[in-house]
Amino acid sequence: MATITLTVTVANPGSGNRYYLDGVLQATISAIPGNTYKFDQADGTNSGHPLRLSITSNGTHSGGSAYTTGVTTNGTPGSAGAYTQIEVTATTVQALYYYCTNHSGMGGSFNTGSSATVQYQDREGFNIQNFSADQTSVGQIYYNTSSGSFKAVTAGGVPIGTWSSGGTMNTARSDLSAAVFGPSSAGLGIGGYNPPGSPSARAITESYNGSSWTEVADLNTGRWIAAGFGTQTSAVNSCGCTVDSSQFTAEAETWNGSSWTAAPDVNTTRRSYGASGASSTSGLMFGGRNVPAYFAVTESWDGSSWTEVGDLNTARAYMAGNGTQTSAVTASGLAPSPTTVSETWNGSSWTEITELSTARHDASMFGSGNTDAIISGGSPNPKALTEYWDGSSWTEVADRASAMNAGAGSGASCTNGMTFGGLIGPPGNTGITEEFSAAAFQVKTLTTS
Amino acid sequence: MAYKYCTATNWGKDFFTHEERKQFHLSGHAGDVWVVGDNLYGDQWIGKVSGAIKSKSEAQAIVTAEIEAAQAAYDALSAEEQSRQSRPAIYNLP
Repeated sequence: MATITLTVTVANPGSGNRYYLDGVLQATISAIPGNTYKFDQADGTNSGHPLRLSITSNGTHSGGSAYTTGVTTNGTPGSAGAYTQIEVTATTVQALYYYCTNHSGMGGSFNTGSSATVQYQDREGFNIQNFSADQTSVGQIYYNTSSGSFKAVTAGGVPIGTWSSGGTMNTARSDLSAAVFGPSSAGLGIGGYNPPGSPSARAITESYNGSSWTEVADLNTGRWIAAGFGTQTSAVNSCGCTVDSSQFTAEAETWNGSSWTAAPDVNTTRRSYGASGASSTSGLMFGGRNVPAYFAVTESWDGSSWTEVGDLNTARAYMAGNGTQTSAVTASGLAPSPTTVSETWNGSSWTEITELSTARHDASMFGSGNTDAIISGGSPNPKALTEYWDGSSWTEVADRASAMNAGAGSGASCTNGMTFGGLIGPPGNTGITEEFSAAAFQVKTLTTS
Repeated sequence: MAYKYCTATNWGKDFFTHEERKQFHLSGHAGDVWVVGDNLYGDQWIGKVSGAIKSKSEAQAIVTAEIEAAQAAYDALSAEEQSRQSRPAIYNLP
């Protein structure tokens, strides 16, 4: 199964040196049989503090001895490559303790299914422990004494995620941009299109606080079918159409949390492209079109200028994208027909990856980078379909409630993202927001009939 | 799966929640028509949003009328805009 690395450091919280596991003082570890737990002692603070395991609390300092079954050690604590690890199996002693061979009182508990203070009954090598509250470690099966029921903690994440309604934008519009790397509690909706009006291209910027949208400072140039990247307080928006679909701009603007400032033009004037980036000083724009051409051109922004970098493998427009300047995903688009093509960016080049299940364009995307993305909605005909990229394949997950296309998506994580605006057809432009959220685990009650 | 049909205006935050999406089917359609899973939780949601119950045929008629209006709007678009969007198609509610 998995090897779980616990980074060990040593520090004095005021009562003498103590072990910290992943930054937590004398953390209690709940281990799961089948996994290997590696106490990584490479950090320099471990010098002179070899960590071992024992069935006795505080180990040899309390008359115990080292527990060695399934345990291996390597190197010198405080030096690169130093660790102690234990392969936990169904027969591993349930209550273990980690301790320092040289100093008393530094360690803590390492439980592999039960502790000596909890009553349990053995069932073919596994144990059911009593708890009064629900547990959080995936893989645990336990008896909840409060509800009087057996429960299990099963995997969470995107596959169990759902969409909920968020606050509605003040101005319904489509073809708007987002600061793509913000969390769902801190979004930024930029520009867009909402005819009739003069002009149809909007300069409106709205800020989201997790429940409602507020108008903030306008763009200097209203635009639509542009793209943006960054966060609610540090973003970039560039190109797009300024009047109608035949009027393109190469202008770019940066956002500092309160106002937009003109930035150097991009090299290739375009609209309907994809973008990724985590701030106003670091981003990427890719693909797009300038009628009748479809582009593969990618440009990188460093806070002061745009530089051409590696082209997409497939020229296209109206694609979805997200991630950072060095780790991004793009999928879907018109090339010129609706496509399932997907590509990932590693900081220097694009690589074609497994294709989407459903061809589409004008979809919305959010996620952390090239191993983690959600694409939702899109055309032709507004879609509710949502697909999840986990670094190796796309999987269909929960549908949106409302089919949508030409909206915007933002979120730096697949377990906490949102889409907003767009077209729901009919009646057309919308200000609807849907938020996607997934818990890290789920607790299920076990039944016997 | 059995469904109920209603009309209700999406007011935004918490119109439908993550927990509700786990408990019953919910999909939104043109004309503020909502298709709702026919179970206790779906009924509770219809009550929460003050949904106006419709028969399936009534709901379908609302959706169809909205799509026909959108088709007319699409037909009035420029060729460039039409090339990007598909003409809205009438579909049947589940």
